[in-house]
Amino acid sequence: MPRLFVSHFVLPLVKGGRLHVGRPVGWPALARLRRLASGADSLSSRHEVRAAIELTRLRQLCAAGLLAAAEPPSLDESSLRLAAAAHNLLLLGHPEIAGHPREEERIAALAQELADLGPPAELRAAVGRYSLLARLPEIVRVEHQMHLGPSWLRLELRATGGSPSAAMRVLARLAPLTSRRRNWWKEIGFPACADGAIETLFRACPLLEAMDPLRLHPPLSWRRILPVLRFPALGRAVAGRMVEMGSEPAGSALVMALLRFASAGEKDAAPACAEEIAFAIRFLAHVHWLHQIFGAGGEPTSCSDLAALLAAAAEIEPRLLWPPDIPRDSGPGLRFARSLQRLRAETPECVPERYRAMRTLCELAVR
Amino acid sequence: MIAPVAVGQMRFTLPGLAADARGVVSGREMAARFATLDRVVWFLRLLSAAGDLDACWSGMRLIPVRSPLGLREMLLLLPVPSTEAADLVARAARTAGGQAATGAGRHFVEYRDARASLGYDVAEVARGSGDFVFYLADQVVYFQAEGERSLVRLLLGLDLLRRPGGSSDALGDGGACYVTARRGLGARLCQYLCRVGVDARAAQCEPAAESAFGLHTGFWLFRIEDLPTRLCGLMSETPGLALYRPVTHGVAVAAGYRHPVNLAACRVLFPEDRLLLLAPRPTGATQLDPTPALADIADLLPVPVFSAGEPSALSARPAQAKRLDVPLRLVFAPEVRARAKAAYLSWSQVGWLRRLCQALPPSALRGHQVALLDDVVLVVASDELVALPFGKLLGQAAPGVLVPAGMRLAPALDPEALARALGTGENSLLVFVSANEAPLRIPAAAMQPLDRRILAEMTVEARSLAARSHPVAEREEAVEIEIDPLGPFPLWGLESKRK
Repeated sequence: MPRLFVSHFVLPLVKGGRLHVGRPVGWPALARLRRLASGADSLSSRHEVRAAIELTRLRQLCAAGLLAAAEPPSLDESSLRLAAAAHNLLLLGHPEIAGHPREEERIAALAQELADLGPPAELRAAVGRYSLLARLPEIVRVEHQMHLGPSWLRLELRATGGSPSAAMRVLARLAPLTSRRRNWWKEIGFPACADGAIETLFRACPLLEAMDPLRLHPPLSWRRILPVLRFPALGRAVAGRMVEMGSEPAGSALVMALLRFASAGEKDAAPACAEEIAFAIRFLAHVHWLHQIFGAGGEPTSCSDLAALLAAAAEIEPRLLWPPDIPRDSGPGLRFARSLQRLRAETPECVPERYRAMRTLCELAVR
Repeated sequence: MIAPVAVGQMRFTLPGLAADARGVVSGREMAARFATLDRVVWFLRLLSAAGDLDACWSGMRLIPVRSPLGLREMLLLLPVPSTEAADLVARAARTAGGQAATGAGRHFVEYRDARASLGYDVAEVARGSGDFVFYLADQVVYFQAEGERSLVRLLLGLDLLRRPGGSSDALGDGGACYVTARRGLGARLCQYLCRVGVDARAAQCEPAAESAFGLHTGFWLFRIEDLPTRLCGLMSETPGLALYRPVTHGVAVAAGYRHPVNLAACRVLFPEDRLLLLAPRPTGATQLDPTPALADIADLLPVPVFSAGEPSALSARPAQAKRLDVPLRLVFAPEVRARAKAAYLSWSQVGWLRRLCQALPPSALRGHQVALLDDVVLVVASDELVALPFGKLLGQAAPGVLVPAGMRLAPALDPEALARALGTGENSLLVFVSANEAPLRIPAAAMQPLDRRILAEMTVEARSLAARSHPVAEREEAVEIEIDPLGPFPLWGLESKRK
């Protein structure tokens, strides 16, 4: 664990800058952090205290983007455990750990234990956890590389994370030094043994998963994100994020996840019930409504998964798509109806198999 | 059991049998016995196609019976006026897989066949109990009757068959037809038929109610004596209209369909004072009891309203030159449904605006401008203001001229001319707040984009100043991993809590 964990890791995770990844954070270290956060540790450095205050302020700013009346999230035990789990997950890419399966498995198991908080029970907890980890997908690692010597005697110098070494800086006069920034979340990734830890982290902070629906692995899970989507403020925030990303690609990713959720189910979880599927379809329809009213792009293509779902829902049960307080002869209502009419005419011919699957899904929702 | 009748035999053991001039033995009634109901339908189809047998159809009865073995069978009793009619009935019954017998009352003996060309008689009359007795070649069968089924209900319950060629070919030979129209279409159809010169009669109808709690939708019924071929498609394919072709008196079948039984042959089954409209499922049969009294469609059209008197001619003379000053004022115009362009908010509603800006997606706020005035806040959209459900909504009467929704400016001038006259457009806005207040002129410099900076300023007023240290700039710094050396034994003492 970095000696100054809050100022060297947690604060840069929220604020930006260089976050230090060092020795793994275990349960004893977590107990020390807990004492520091509660003020019981009189030996805590002034630097760490100032970092904790700054962290709270920044987390409040992040939360204010989701809630109108956001309270400052406290650095409580759940926040510390999530930060420690994130640190240990980042540690899996450390040059001294990567490639050693037994060490990787131990660290991944520890990260999973730390992140095992369960889904947030209330709105404040969901926002607080997300305010800590919101920038996790933005983390980058700089890799420096230098090639020396003639082609038959090729010497390669590498430095991963942080600045190039002193030797590389000296030798940079002889050969070009190339630096590459790789996204940790999408380009570097995790070893397979960390899948469970990532899923546990997502379960503890579902908003993190919901805000990034285009991620490929681990696959998006409606079971995990449903609890936060039921909070209206967070549901609106996620829908707004999807409209920004493009309602069609993001919506189609969620539709595919919904098919998995409704058909195969997810491991160790109860099968989806009709109410949950209906809620998910209504959420996706809400995204399409936002796209129709506020989206700058054109109409969705008739061959997308989202179009197939909307066309099928309009056929099976239009109430899944129409909010009760929007009259159908209003301007947005007419626009939405025109869009649905077009999808109903074109989608069954464009993607017949997918359309049949979506019909079954909608029938399941209204059962 | 039974024995063939001899040539010239005039006396018979079974009561009710008699020989005609040819010596063929027949009773007053024929009885056709079938194992299932679908064979009964088959028989009815064959009989209706065979010829005009009104006497048979008028007295036909369908009786479910139970045999001594406990099997349910169907017995069809029908009077026969002659042996020729009996021959037709017997042929149809045997083709449909049933048995034909003749007799009267409760005793029936097998009808003549190839082995006995004159018919059969019995050796002795059976004394057993049973509602009906059938004398067959090798046994006597007693049947117990179990009520009686309505033949009309059986016919109306059959599914219609689609005609090859569809509805357009159904009226190819012209002739009368019926058209039903939903309530809202009736008056329009009257007008249309009058306009194209088609003779028709119509009435509003209520179908017979099967239940006091059921929902019955009334409709218009048109009888068109000679429907032009060009209108067949219109009448049969327009949603809300249905075209029927009369098959016999009081019965009409949907165009493009036919009833499996020739209803013209069994017209005596249907009362003359009713009208039956047969349509494919799910509509089914509609019974109008009594047949509605149809009126000429010319009498059903709305009467045009004429002015009481002749318009009087006014004498005009040139007026003297005067100034034509008309004050510009706001008038209520509820019929005007202009798109909202701007909203006029009081400062007490700014809190709502702040909350709404948190909830809306970023694309919803793009292109909006805001002017912070002394007592109000004006939010102006670039195209249409759809995201703001509160405040006083303002529509655009002319470029740069905003008026409250549901109102317009009088006199109604050309918008471009009005904007030129008022000097609005890109440089300033003119806002008519209400009919009693003078309009406000807002210079373009006072309008600011409703972006994050404006929102941040608005937030600061309600919250502490400590949170104003350029949050956007802080978020722009990338998060970058700095690898620290792990030192010796990095996993030393790293125990799981579960252990």
